[in-house]
Amino acid sequence: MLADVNNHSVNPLTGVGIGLKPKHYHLVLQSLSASIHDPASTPDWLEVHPQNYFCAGGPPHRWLSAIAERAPISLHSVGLSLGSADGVVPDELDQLAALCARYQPALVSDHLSWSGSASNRYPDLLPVPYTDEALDHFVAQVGLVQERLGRQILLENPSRYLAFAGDQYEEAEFLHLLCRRSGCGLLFDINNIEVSATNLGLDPFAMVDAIDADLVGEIHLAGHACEQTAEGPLLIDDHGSPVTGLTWRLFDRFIRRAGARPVLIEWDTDVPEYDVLMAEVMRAREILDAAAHEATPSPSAPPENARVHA
Amino acid sequence: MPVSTLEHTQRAMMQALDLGPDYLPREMFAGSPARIIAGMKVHANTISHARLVALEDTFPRVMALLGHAAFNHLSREYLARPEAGGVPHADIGRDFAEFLAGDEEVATGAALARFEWHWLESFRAAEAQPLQLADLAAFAPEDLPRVELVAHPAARLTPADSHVCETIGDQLPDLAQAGWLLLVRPEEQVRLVPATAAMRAILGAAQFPAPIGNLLAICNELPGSKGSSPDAAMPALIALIEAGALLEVRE
Repeated sequence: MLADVNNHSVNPLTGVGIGLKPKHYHLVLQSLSASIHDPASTPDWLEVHPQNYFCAGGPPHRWLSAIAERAPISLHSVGLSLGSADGVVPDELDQLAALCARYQPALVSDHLSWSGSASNRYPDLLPVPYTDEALDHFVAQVGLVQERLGRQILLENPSRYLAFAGDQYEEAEFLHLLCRRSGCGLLFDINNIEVSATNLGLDPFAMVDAIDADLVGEIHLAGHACEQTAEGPLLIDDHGSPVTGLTWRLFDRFIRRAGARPVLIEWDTDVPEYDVLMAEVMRAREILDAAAHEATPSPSAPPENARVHA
Repeated sequence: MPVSTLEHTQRAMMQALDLGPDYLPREMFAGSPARIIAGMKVHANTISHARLVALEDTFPRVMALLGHAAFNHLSREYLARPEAGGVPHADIGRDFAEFLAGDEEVATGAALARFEWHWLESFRAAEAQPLQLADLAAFAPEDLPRVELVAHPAARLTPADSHVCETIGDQLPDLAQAGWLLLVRPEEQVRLVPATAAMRAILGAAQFPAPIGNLLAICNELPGSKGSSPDAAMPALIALIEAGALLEVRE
């Protein structure tokens, strides 16, 4: 099975979304409910961590239900632990399946990572070695999840602080093989590229250029923290600040090559006021629009071959 | 059965995360030793921070009672218990009240912790349409004792000690006398109602579907209630219905 993440019957999302946070519930619902949408205050879609909705009821479900009636939503899981040698956490998968049935999300995603074992669960996304064994493991686990959910999922490239000595593949190569063998798509987190490249001494532009755009079904943009160490800066993927200049440049570079993709502004810690978040949305839209404009021939200019013959 | 490389790698990383950097097999990673330790610390700090913040968010009143430093110290001890690691992140505070109750110096915070945990359970419990007094008007008086009721999924009972009363008692002047608190969320927000002994008895019996006649009769079994149960039972049932704590069981 090959990934078909850009078939619009499979991936109905377009434009720029935001991670939905409780402090913004009422503003998001207000903007989506307005008779005329103000683009500066209305995200095109919303993404949530399903783990925050793994409960039977309560106000968060009431808000999400109301919002999901008005805009597409995406479920971005942080708990399947696909890379765990024990395999996917069964109760996480059960609850994710129930939430998919309840909200019919446009996209479902998780991470190229693991989060402990059955007896020791860590609230973190831990790195995996890029080996044949890990690749076979992920192919099997992604297959299991996709079969259970009855749909394709996207997997996010990790932010890395450690590199394994025994890696057999480059990250992009590993992700491409995983997508092609399992049929999953790629959630391309460009902030994670900046974090991993800085921490591991890699070239972020080469990492972006290495990604097969056809596999990318969604893009994440976020900020990170920076800690100075004796060996140089250590970037920490905390989603607690604006998108950096380098990540914007990498995004622009990728979009000009790949064309538009659904883009998410992620901001999970020190969540700012709504207008700050929406300013980031507007900036992402400007880059998408500029890339689309450059890719479209001007109506007043004849096609290249026509000019040759004129 | 040979241990796979993936499993071996993950076991080694878990040992380092749980026990410290001395347990980190550095040959497993590329880069300088200082950089490897720094990278591993990012993961260890992320895990520790997420767990501590989850407890702070769940128990803000306990933290205010004990002070931030003491609360942080107790949280670390609580999380260091071997059984803490296997609990899903959303349920991380489930046993915190019992943990506090087991420590004489901080046992005063246990009832408050139980209240805060029950509040969270009520907040995220399933939605259900509560029975209203007007619904009972549809029944003939002789049929009422046979109408089956069950507790609302968001209904919780919790003891109201002096700290709980101090925290929320100004909203509920009868709370200290009742000694117990009913938490229920019949609509959007959690509702708090002082719970008498008769209310507790009825709600306890309604954990499984039971006819109104049986629920009223259960008050007969309360200590010191012989002969006076109808006087206590009916107001208690009405108070529970008005609070939204009961559902009608329909075929």
